Amino acid sequence: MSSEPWADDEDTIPTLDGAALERLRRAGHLEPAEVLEWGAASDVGRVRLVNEDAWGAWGDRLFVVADGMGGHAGGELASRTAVRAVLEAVGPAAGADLPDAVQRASVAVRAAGETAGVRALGTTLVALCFTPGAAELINVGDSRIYRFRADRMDLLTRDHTVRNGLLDAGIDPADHAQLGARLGGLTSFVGAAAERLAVQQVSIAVARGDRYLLCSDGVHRQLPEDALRRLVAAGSCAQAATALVQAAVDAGGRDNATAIVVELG
Amino acid sequence: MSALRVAPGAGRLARRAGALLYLPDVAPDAAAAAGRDELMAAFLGAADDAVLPAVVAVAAAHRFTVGPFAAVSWRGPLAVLVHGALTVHTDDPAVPELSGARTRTWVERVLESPGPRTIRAGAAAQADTSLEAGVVPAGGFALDVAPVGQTMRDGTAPGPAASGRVLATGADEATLPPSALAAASDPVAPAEGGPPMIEGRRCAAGHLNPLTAGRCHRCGALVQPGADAVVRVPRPPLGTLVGADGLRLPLDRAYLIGRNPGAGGEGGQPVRIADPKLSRRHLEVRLTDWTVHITDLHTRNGTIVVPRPGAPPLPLHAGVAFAVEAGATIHLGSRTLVFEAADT
Repeated sequence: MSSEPWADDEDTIPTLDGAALERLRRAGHLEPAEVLEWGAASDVGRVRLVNEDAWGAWGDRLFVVADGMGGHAGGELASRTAVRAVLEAVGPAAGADLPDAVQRASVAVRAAGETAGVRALGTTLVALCFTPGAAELINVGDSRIYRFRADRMDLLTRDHTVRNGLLDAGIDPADHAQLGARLGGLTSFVGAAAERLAVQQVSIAVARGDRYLLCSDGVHRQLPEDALRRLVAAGSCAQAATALVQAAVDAGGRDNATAIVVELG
Repeated sequence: MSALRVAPGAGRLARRAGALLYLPDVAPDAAAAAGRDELMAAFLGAADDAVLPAVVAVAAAHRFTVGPFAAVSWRGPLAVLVHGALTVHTDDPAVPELSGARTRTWVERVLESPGPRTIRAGAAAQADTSLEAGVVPAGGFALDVAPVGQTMRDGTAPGPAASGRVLATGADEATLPPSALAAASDPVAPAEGGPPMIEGRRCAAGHLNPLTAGRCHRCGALVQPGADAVVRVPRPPLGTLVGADGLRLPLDRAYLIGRNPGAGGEGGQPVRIADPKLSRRHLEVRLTDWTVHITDLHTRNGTIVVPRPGAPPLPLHAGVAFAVEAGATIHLGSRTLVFEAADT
């Protein structure tokens, strides 16, 4: 996909500016959905000594979850630095360039590591930014964003893992079970060198009644899908986020667990 | 102690603390060339204990289209990794040769026989050469190495690391434990590779659904829960894009739609629509797992989606993939395409 406008488009007949959009707007009868409420929760879990997850929100428009990795406090430093960088870059400016914000966050993470004398650090990052009727998401690594609509649950992000690289190449990861942990290895993360930083960016249409879950792998690896579906509907968004994180801890708490639940109305 | 000798040639050989990367001279296409540069960058930039995971992660991110390479790590257990049509020879009687030619992914072995080892690949290395660090042109190498840490094997298969995840370029918790490396040392079964695969679960009627589905998206029956019920199959069609003029585009492949989209190639199968209000290359359709993504290619008149009947229209942001769903209508030029759900 090119990021450059096509230069050979002069022979395309221009349409009336905005006429089609206005016609379609009049044809619709549904109001654009907006954020109604949200809640967040995070827990260190039962195994780790520190919580290397971080989350942030800007008003009721922008939500971010990051899961840091790296020794000597590098994980905490990475996740917090990245969340702050994205909030500052995207929060105040409607229509900000999300992938650009991630690139800047990656530079900030590397710089923070250098300042702190931590050589290798990085973080996953998911962010969801709402506009009336739509939202834009970005994803790096293996934190996730799910959408719950009526009785349907959809995964909106795609993990950057060796395992998904195998699936893309038409190879069954089950044939490579002996690779163990390496299948979960991240192929992209914030803090990676620029040429290795792959960012997934997707726009979506949103609807009233939708709930969105942003979570670290301490939630989505620890709980089966039916538990996510049940818990995300448990009361208010704040109650649901707390219930999800608590359930992840109760189920073993092998990793830090963080959840943000957002409802549209 | 270790000594790395170099054979002259037009490939590349890199050495850093306790590891080497050899990229033989091949004629890769442009994409593979970029991948090989990234392999080198990842190798040189990785944490000491995570060199092999970093290299593997880059290869996976490129869907293993990076051309042949070999990497050796001896900071911990002495491990040899090969991808593609390249053979590494060792004097370990258990691993005389290791070739990546028969797998789409990679093979990897830990050399466990005691004593110093010699590992070589490519042309015969010259005796009077020595690479201590950095990157040089090379047509082969010979490494004499006495591993510092021989691994212990207890014969049991170790589980994945605590977090089940390895940070590709390192960090302490990302370091692969020796046990996991040993687990990875068995030769990888040849894998053919093919069209992209998808993970899902079936309902009682056999309909394939995403892992996130509690009830079948087609018939409403309960979907078999649990990890044991997960199947991996080539991706089925995700639906059809239907034009008012009878055009039908089955969503089993990528498309490049426009007034004059050219040959397509990487951008997907070209679909030519004679509409003067369309740009030459107007809309890209791509499939990601269970999702159909459409991207407006910075067109003059733009693309508008009505995500479901009655919903407010959304003008697409140029160059940003939009996750379009069954029931949506895509407006481009004077045409419309309706996304009909899959009938699988």
